[in-house]
Amino acid sequence: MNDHKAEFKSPLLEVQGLRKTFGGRGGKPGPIVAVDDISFSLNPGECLAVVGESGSGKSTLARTLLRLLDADSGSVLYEGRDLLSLPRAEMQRQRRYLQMVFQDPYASLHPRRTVAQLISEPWEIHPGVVEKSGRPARIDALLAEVNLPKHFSSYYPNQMSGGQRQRVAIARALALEPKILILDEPVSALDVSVQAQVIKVLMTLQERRDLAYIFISHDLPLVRLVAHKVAVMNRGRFVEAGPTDTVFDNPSDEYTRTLLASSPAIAEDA
Amino acid sequence: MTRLLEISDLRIFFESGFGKVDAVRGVSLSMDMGDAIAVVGASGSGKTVLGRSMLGLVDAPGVVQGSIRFDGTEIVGRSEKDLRGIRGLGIGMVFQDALDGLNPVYSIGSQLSEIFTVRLGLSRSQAKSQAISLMEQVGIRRADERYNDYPHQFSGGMRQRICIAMAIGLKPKILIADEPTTALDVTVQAGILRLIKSLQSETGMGLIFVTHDLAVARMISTRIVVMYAGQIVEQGLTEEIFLRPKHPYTRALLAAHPARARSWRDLEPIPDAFVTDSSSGEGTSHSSPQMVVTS
Repeated sequence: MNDHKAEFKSPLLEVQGLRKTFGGRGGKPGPIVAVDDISFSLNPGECLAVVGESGSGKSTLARTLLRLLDADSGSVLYEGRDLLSLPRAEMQRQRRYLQMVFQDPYASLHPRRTVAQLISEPWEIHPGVVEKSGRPARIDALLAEVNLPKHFSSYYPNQMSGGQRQRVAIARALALEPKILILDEPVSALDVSVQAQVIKVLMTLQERRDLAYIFISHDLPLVRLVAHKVAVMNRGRFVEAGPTDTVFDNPSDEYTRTLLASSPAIAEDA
Repeated sequence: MTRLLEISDLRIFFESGFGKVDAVRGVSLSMDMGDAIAVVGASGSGKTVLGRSMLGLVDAPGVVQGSIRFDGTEIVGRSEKDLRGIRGLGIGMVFQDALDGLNPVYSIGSQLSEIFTVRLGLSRSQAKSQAISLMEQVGIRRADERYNDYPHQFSGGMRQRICIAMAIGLKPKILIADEPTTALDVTVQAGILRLIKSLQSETGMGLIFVTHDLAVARMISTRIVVMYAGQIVEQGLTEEIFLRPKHPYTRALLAAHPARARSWRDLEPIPDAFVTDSSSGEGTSHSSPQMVVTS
């Protein structure tokens, strides 16, 4: 976006040299390198897709960004502050700005909580975000943003379809007014026929709220539709990264070409 | 001439505490050797239970009515003993989750060779060499060295290859594959689809491939059957379905598919009238899809 001169502002999120290993003892790096020297930046309203196969390290990357796992080295600058070196209590406060939506809405929603309880739980942890008296109205508003009617607030997860559940998970992630959503395979547990509906909700929200997305996926046709830029991850590294069209039309890396060739396609006609 | 498979007016329903739930509502379908049929539908459309019924795998409280004739033999209402003669030998099946199909405490080799000792009465050494050549056939490298490995030592894609090997080991005339690649990565999926295709052309068996993904259906099938709410709403040659979909539901499925769109704005979510809610058991009690107005 040259016209906005976005590159001269500091980005919303800037990740530098992020590294995470497993199997180390006593705080030392271990032999298994899951995230290997990852750097990228993200601006408001931007969608970065991280694509790769099982075991490529993409979910570990997401967890390390949020400090759900401790990084070995590197930095994660959110609005210029390094999240990795913040004291725990301060990190806790910052977490509201970086929220996550998980792959499986059957596992991520507590089966014995109503939708209203699920959406308002984040406000118990971050009480300052929405005043108690304003919460019922805010729940309705959040449901409306994900295209669900008000009366869903009294539903339990088992009364909803997969697509509806995932939209509740999105509403919950929005409850804290985040700036960044990390979407870890948000539609891959859903039928192709319901994916479209969830994707439309996500992309409309991104525009309306100027959200930044990290969209983790192995579904290349889908990534092409939603991402502004793409990073291809293999064995913990970004083997290729760039604007979506460039990566899809002129992949420079062998692994990217394999991924593209494997993807089932529906003809270019119609 | 006897068809390889002939299903007529098949009805499957489940009696639950909340009343009768119709899963398959009057399906008729037939196939011959060499046919590759993809059964496409959303969760709750009845596609999986349709596949299972062909092997007599619909358990109580499920009730199956109508007729499924395999090579002239009726399957509906058959005893377990008779069905055992058809399963594996006549019709093989591969399920979605390869881990569920393998026993974690037995080696890959012993599970594979078992089908030959038990079903064909081969000696252990004969069975072993059969099993190893089967492993090679489904693309396991250094099969003799991997023979004694356990399922956890195999990747997801390799496990699914083993399940395919078990399903085709007795040279069935029909292979039913129920979402065999849904749990796999795209590169692995491509390999499995190629394997199934080449096995089919080598053996000439009939293939029934159940999937929710039209793009996958296109790669594997010569004919597509679209299921909605327990009924076949459209069937035809694969290319024909893609070029000229007739039923509004088929058109809606295509419009919702990311591989067809240029931007997310082009995606058209399935209209609410078509959205079935399988989790609350309402999926198949929906009004007939034919009632939905064409846009």
